Amino acid sequence: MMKTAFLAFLETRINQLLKLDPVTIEALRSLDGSVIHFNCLQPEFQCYVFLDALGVRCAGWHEGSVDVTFQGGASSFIELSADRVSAWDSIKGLNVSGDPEVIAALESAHRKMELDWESLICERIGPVAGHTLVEGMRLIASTFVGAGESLSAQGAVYLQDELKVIPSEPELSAFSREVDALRGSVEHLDERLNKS
Amino acid sequence: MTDKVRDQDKTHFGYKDVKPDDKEKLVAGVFHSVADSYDAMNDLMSMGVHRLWKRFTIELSAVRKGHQVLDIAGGTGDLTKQFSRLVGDTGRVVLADINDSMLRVGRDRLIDQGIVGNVEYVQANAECLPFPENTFDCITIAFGLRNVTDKAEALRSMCRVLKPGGRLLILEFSKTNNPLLTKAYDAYSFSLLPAMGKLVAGDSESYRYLAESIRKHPDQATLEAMMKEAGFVNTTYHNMTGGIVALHKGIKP
Repeated sequence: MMKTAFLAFLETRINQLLKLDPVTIEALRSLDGSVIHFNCLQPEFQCYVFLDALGVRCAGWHEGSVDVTFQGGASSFIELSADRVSAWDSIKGLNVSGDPEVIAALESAHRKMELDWESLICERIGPVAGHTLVEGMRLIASTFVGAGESLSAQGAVYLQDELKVIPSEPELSAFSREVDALRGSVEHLDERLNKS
Repeated sequence: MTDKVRDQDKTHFGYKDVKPDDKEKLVAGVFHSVADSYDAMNDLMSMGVHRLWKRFTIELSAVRKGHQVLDIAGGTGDLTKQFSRLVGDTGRVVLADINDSMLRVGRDRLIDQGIVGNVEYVQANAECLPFPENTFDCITIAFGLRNVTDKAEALRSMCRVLKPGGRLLILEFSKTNNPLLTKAYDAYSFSLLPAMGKLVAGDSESYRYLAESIRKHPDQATLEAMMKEAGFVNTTYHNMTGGIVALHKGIKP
């Protein structure tokens, strides 16, 4: 029942988002009747997405044939949802198989997708609060992106500086050999002193 | 001993023994009384979970474009609405209910939602379905079989009108196998349910009947055996919410 509940929730959200992008709805309408199978290998999870004129329908069971199968780990599905520029076959760990025409149409729709998520927020909480929230989210996101870029740049400088003072591997090996030789000489001297 | 319930002296109506012909009238009275508040009460009683039970039924139905579907005891049309979308313009969904009040509420609701064109409405008794043999690809009966006077006869009638290879799905309250859950469920259905019925629908007796009729309904294994007896093969059932509800599936050979 948990899976059924999750899929019901997912279906509602996907259809809400699709309503914000008439171009994608039109593209999916041309695929009316297609069945897409999502097979996540790790963690194990399967679901079927049915495309029709009214949007998408998600189901945990399907006994007929499928048009396209997406198979891979959770990380590859996350990459698929985040990366709308790269070709699907370049996404590591993701295997897309099935009807080439449907795959091409889906890939094209995925690339052109422009979901107006701001209007969804504004619809829910009102235009003033919605835009304020969206601006806040943008500010937080840009702060994180800036902090990430700064950390990355400063990290590179730090590593370059550190490289100047950190001894290289051959220097460490030579130093280690010298320490061994000194220890051997000290032991040898100690033996001679004990004898005399 | 005769097989037909209608030839016997008595049958059950909740915990009461009544004449078989009287049960139909008493059940009709219950549904005439609750028809207008049926949806609200369903949501309230199940805390919305009935939508998930029905959703799972749709998933297991394997209904697709062009199919002929019969939704028996379809009531307010929850399943019919979904099936109408699945069968498309080339298919057909028949919403059947023995109770004209329920059928009227279902028909009005579906028409108000723009679901027209591939849906038909038939007032029919599940024991003698008014359709030719081998008509439907799928038959569903959700929360209706326990109210049928002669369940075995109804199952035979469903098998008759199904096409070979067609499937019957029975969604119905059943028996929990967890003693703790059973106690909690009993307390809920015999104390809280009639109180909610009085508050929302102004009728506690109908909801007391609901609780009693669930207890008198055959358990999962018995219903599966009845389906086999009626001629279905590859019968299985899925327990949901700890067995409070079970979905039985059978195929007509």
